[in-house]
Amino acid sequence: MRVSARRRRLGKLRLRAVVLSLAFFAIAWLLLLGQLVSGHDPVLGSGSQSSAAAKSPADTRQRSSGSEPPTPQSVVIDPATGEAIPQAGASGAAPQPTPQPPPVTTSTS
Amino acid sequence: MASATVSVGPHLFWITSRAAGTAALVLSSISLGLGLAVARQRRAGRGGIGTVADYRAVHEALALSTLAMVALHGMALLGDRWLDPGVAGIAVPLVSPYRPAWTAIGIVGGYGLAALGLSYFARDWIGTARWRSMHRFTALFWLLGVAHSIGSGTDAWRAWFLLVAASAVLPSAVLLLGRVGGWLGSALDLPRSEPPVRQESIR
Repeated sequence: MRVSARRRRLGKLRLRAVVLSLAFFAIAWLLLLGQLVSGHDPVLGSGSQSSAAAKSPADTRQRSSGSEPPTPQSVVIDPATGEAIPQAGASGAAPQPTPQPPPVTTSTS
Repeated sequence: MASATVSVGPHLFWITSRAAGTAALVLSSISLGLGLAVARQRRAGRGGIGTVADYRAVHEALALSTLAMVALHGMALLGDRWLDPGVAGIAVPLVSPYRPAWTAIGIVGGYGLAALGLSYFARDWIGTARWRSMHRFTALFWLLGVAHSIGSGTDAWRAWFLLVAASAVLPSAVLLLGRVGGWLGSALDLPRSEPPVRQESIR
């Protein structure tokens, strides 16, 4: 009888720990959601675009990390065909210089 | 006051991952603290506020919840269209395009926590003494998790995160330091802080 009561007590303790864990996750989730909706997200910041302007996650989310995915390229509509032509190097990045061959060195003995 | 309406839908997976990561950090810290308290009580051979069995039950439940949160933290990112890490990005160190080194530290920490945490269920097979000495290394992987959350956490420098993380991490870190100090003391056979034995002079 005492053993089963103890088991029940430990089971209750475990259940409480799991419920508290889930509650903590839910609170963190709601906090982050509130931060995002109110425009105070550390990554999206207050300069977030409106939902109407947000077309895709790549358009809206700009991270401060050094390793970011490439920014979308500019697109020009060809007046003759009406097709969109992506413009390489027009996304604000400076054009890469042509790589030069390494200098030839001669050794003199 | 700056306020903007943000389309929440595309970021739901990202928010879920961040919340799970924060929860994993806090739960693992509390679980580690409880684990250290259990070991301390067992060594001292006396009871504290609760019994050793109480502490152990909560420690186990929190450890399993931590592992669930770590899994959710990684898997939620699979649904994030912006980051799009792929399975390799969340499972293989140094593959993720986002802060590869810090992410790798987190992946290694997650594997370590999972392996050492779940090894509890193979304790009879491993041997209790061996399992116990293995289980001590959980603290090392917890430290990797702390480093990962600071190095690659989106919310790492937000006041609320620092407050929550510090209140969970610092007590466990203090307990861990005390324990490591004890290990080092016994390993180096340092004298304990006992009163010096008075040498009686023989006349």
